[in-house]
Amino acid sequence: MTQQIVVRYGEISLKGKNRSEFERILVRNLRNALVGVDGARVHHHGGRMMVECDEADADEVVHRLQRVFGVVSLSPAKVSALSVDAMAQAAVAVYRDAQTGGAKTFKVEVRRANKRFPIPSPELASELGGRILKAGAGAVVDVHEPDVTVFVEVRDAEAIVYGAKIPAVGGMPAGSAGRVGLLLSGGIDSPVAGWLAMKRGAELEAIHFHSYPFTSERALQKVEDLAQILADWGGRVRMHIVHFTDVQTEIRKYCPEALGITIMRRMMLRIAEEICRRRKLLALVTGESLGQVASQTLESMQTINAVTRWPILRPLVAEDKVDIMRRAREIGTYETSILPYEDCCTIFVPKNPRTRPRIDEAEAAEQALDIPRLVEEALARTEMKTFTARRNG
Amino acid sequence: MTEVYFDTAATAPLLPVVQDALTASFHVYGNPSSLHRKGVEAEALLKAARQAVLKVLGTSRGQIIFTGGGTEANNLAIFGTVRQHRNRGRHLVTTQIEHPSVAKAFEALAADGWSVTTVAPNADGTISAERVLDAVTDDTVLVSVMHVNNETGALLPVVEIGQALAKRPKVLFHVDGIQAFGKVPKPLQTLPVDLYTLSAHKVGALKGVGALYVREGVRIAPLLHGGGQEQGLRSGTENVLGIHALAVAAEALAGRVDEHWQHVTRLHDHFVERLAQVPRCRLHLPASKSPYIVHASFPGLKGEVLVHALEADGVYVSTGSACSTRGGHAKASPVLTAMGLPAEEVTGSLRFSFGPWHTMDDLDRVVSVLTDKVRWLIDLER
Repeated sequence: MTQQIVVRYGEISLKGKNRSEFERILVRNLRNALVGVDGARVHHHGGRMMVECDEADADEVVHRLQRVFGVVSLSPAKVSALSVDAMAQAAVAVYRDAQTGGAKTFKVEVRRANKRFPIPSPELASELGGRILKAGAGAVVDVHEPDVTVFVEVRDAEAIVYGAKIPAVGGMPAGSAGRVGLLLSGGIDSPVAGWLAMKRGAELEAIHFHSYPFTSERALQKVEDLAQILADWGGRVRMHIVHFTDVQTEIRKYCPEALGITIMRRMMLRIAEEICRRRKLLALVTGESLGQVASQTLESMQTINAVTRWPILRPLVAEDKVDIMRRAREIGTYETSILPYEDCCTIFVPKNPRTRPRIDEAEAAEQALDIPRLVEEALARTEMKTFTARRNG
Repeated sequence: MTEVYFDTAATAPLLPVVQDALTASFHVYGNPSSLHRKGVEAEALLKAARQAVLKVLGTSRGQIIFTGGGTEANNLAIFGTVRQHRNRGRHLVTTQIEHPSVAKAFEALAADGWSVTTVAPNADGTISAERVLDAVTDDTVLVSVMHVNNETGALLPVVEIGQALAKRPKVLFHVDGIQAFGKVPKPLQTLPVDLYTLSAHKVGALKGVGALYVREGVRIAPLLHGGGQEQGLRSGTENVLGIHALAVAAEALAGRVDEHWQHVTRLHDHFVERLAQVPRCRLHLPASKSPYIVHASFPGLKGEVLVHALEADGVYVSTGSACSTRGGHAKASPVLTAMGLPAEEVTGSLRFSFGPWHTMDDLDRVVSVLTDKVRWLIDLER
């Protein structure tokens, strides 16, 4: 038996001019997500996306489609012939499925795309509702807040009937919004920030600062694992590994200790901006959350941000830590993020960091550094790796 | 870049002779329990392996029970004893400097209601035989003391303890000899012991093979039940080639243990002399020790950072012991803490462990890289 699955994609249908492009990307992403499921096919016509697969694969297919950015909800559907009896049989079956899941009240909604079908929608709806009442033990109609809505779409060659709406991840199709740089540490926040950017259609190029021997190969492996988890959400993720040891040791040697973190972050932004320029990345995404640590006070953000005119997106700026942690668990990065390796932000932590550094004092503190040379040398030692989604099919 | 691997206490590289022997034996696939000739062929390898291991131990009698590693052999010795002899008493004696495969086993037994005395080390990391013996009561079932400590190299007075315990036939004596096997010459020639643990990969054979020596007449209970292999003490088809690899390593070592000990002692003494010149180095040298392990602290620096800094120049060492790191991240060593070392010496500690193939040039190279890296790190301090 084949199973049809209705795929709903909310927001992108709003964007008039770009709509066809978005839909094309979404269809491509759906197809990529289904690689390895034999016989699964994506159909797209008339503003409606349907996936067809073997009934036995339905759960797996739904599970995969739920994770495709841009998909708002899914409904496994029954296909029936264009007769009232056949539609009624399907409608009853859909209601019964919902009943097993605890639903009691229902309503029927009909959409008659095929106007040659002789019975108008309201009449068909009431006829099918009657059949469900007759067949279903204890069925009750509630047109205002039904437990389940039985949808019937009358099409040219067939009718499709479905009930439950399974929520999906939502957002915009991956790759529909251009490329951004992501400052990716090994922590909990930055992968979540990157995921949120991906969810809005951005393609990620992660930028990671590696400070061997102060951080280890395992710490780098951990960040690569995080990049892979993000890539598994349906997009290619490139990662630029910046060898940052020399920058950190020079800051350590020549700059006032209390401003060490501020200057380190400023150096990171300078290097990241240059990577963005070379790789044509339109913005930088960070995992900063207002007030979370000393470098994330408004004063710190301003002083750090002052070195770049590149747009910096901070999707987590107003999020609480607990919410970020919950999201990290949902997207599958948490367990990796909490592995206890040092990252470059936790070494050389000053005893008394300035929590409200001013731009002028940061500039004065940097006087001893040959900034263009440090940036250039760090860029020369930057490596790039590419991660693509793993398919288990 | 020439590499110097000074981490043999974690694991040793496969000996070339072992590699050759394995390559030549891959056709031996028989199950040693099979009745036909394929089984006989495999069984012959096991039999030869028991003899080779006994020879390195310095005895000709007793059983060798092959296990899936040193940890399993330690667990078999401890849990096997208490299971077999639980009616003899409820008290156990061990030390505070045991490897986790012993220490955690005793913790589990303590949680299970056994009374466990853990003898504290002296400040230099050695253990006093007297204190171990004082802890023994009429209720004691098992005494377990390691032969060579895996972090400091301390050589424990197991002979003295074993001789005293010989007068108490109801108390079983187990020695974890994982860091001593193939290094300390013929340990069982002088050591009266009931159970003795060894591990294959510490002497240049494969990981996943260990063994427990069980003295004649000593009875313990198995942990794994099944086909009754290994005299019923370790069911499961034997890892024939892994055990063969151990046999080959043991045979290669057998006649040379003394010579190696003398060579490594010279290395050790020279290394210790040179280390003392490295800035900020504090050596922790137990009064009685194996030359194969040297432990030093660099207070104020992080052992983990030093390990990575040395690795960048092809020098491989450990912080404390590899078993005290979880998922590659160093944790404070309970052994060093038990010795009363201040926190900064524990955090800044390195373990160097040698093999008989190392040379004075290797030592000089390690000392020179170490000196550079320590200076560089000190320079970054405030």
